[in-house]
Amino acid sequence: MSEYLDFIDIDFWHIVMSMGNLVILTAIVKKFLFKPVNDILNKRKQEVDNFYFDAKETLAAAQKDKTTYEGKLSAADKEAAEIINSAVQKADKLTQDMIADTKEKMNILVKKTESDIETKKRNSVLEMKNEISGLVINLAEKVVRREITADTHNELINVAIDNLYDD
Amino acid sequence: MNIEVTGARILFNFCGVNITEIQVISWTIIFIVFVLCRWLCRGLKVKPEAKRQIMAEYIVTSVQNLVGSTMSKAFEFFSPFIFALMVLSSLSSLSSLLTFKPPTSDLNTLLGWSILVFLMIIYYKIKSMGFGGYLKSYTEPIAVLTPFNILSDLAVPVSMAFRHFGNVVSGVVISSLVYGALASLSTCVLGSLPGILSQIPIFQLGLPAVLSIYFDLFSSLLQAFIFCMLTMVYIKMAANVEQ
Repeated sequence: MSEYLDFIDIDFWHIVMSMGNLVILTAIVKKFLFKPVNDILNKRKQEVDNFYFDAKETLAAAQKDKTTYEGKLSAADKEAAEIINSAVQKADKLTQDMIADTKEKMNILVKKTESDIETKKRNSVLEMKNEISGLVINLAEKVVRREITADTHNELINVAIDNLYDD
Repeated sequence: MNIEVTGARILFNFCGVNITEIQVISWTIIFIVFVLCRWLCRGLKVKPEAKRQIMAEYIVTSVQNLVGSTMSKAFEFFSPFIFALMVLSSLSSLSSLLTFKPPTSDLNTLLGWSILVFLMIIYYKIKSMGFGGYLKSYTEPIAVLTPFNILSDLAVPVSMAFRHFGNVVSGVVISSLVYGALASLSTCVLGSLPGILSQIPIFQLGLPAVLSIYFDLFSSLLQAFIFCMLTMVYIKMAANVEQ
């Protein structure tokens, strides 16, 4: 047996072994390289997909919340406007009431003042009457003391009238 | 100068089959690839932490992208086969750097691979055309051309095997010739020197390394790539798939 094969020596079993070697190596790289790496890549892709799915769901929920809160905000704005409107109306009414009250008090004061003036006026007239009465009495006393002639009568009357003016 | 170009060295005989250094080197390459695969895929995580995982993912996705773009996405399951073919071919040729006889310099090895590819081509032709359609395809466009069509089909594995074989063997032969010539030159120039100085093969330094870069590195990887590309193209054509 030669130690070496011929340079070109086609051998059936060597060809079969060569095919077998290639098939075995294919099986090895498929099982120990491609399969585990593809499994891990698929798992990663799944995780990324899940992440995006969760993100989309969160976004949808956030948009829903936004819509809800926008509605609530709008309602709150409306309510605030109503409150302000109501407060303005209340303030107007209070102002009106205060003005009316002030007017009423003022009228009462005016009436009271007028009443006081009337009272004082009446008192003055009464005082005047009393003084006139005193004068008349004085005059009557003087008339009684002397005989009243026509001249005396005129004189007394004039004197009385002068005194009255003097008072 | 006596340079002898022989086939593979026979190591032992097993049940009437000669086991050569080619088989042993091929099995060693398979074992190394197996160990590398186990190492690359150890402790894979969804969020990669180890560089070896990134390397494993890069290799797998690159091969799948190459197969997907050359054949079609439907043929991505071919990726392990193409990768195995590329690795086996490349490492077989590169084994010459370690002074081993490269398995790709053995015609039986390359015939085995190309016959396997040829069987796949026939399988996909029958799958796409049906058995009757496949047989009928040999008679097209006219029945007279049937022998030529058969020859044309048989030429595929032969051309694939001999292209690769020729390139690798030519490199081995040229390298051996240059190496032998440089040894002779060293003997001629330094032979007259006394003692051990006359035996220093000074001219064998440098130039063989440059030739090795081309024949062992560049040409080996290029031929592996060409073999894989041809495999993909032939199978795609046989399957008659649209991109």
